[in-house]
Amino acid sequence: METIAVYWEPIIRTYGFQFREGLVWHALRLPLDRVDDWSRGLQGLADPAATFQLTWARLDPEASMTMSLVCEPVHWNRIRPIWIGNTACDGGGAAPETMVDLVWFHGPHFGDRYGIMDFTYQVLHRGQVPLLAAICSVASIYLVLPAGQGAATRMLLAGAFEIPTAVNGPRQGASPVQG
Amino acid sequence: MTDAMAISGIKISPPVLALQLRSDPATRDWTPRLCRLLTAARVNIAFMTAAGAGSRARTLCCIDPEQRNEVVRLIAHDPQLHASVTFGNTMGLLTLYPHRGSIPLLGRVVQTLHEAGIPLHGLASSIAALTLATDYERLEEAASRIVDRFDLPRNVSPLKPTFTVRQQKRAH
Repeated sequence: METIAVYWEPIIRTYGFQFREGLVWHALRLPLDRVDDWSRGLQGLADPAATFQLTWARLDPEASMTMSLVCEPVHWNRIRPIWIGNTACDGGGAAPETMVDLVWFHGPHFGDRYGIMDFTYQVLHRGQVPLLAAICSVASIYLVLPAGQGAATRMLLAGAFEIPTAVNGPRQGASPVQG
Repeated sequence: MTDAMAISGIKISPPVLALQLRSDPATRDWTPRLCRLLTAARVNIAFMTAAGAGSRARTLCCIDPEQRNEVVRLIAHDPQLHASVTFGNTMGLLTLYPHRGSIPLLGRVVQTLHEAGIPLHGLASSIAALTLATDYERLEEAASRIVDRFDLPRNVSPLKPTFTVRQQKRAH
């Protein structure tokens, strides 16, 4: 595939940082033979207002998937019965919920450019920020932090990245259709 | 549940190479070190999920397969990463949007691939999109299954990339 563009910034620009405090993170280990029942169950959620902030999953070597969900506590109360269901049997596992904060950001051509996650890790390391999970998908980076760490981490990152004033002003918090 | 579920579009990626990183049982996360190495090699991370601690801490990281040799060379010089990183199969990323934070949509996506026997190596949401990592050789089939199970606008078909952006440091 031909490369037709190059991109470089001395200081990495973002469209600003967003965060949400006091969320629930739940990780569910799901045996592969339970995936069908479980995924059908999710489709039965009757409350469309009960949504996730972030989800990710990975296939484990032990013939299982670990599914993670981060959402508002009020939504978790509605999602929990079908998310956990009866998967805790037959080798599955439902870890206890963890209260977390979420910081996320995206920038121009994130997803096409090297070094952004490395830079993020360096900033977090300098700030001694404990990180529970990091997710890079499309042009977005999500950081899952222990509860109470979100606001300070957002400030820390905002001081290290460049946020153009046009973004940092009235449009802060705006999101493009994809990210 | 077979009711219509609407999405606006689907994108499929070029092939990506999967790196699986298993971190140290003593709770040391080697993911920052891997990211540092990839930066040194000017390798972009197309997709990554990194979570957990202890013996269950695993990171899935997808990069351009054309940069495999350079990454292998650098990892060979890092004993910790050399012992912790496994190069996996060539994968493809299927991205559908928007997800709207919808739990039923998540269930529909997972079920669609699972019932077709299409492996789901990883999954992650972004602001508006949901990205699935599967075997590259089954990526087109996965996209076709998603198209069949979701309502897409008329004349919308999976988008394939026609160019790449590569970051180069400008000489001043």
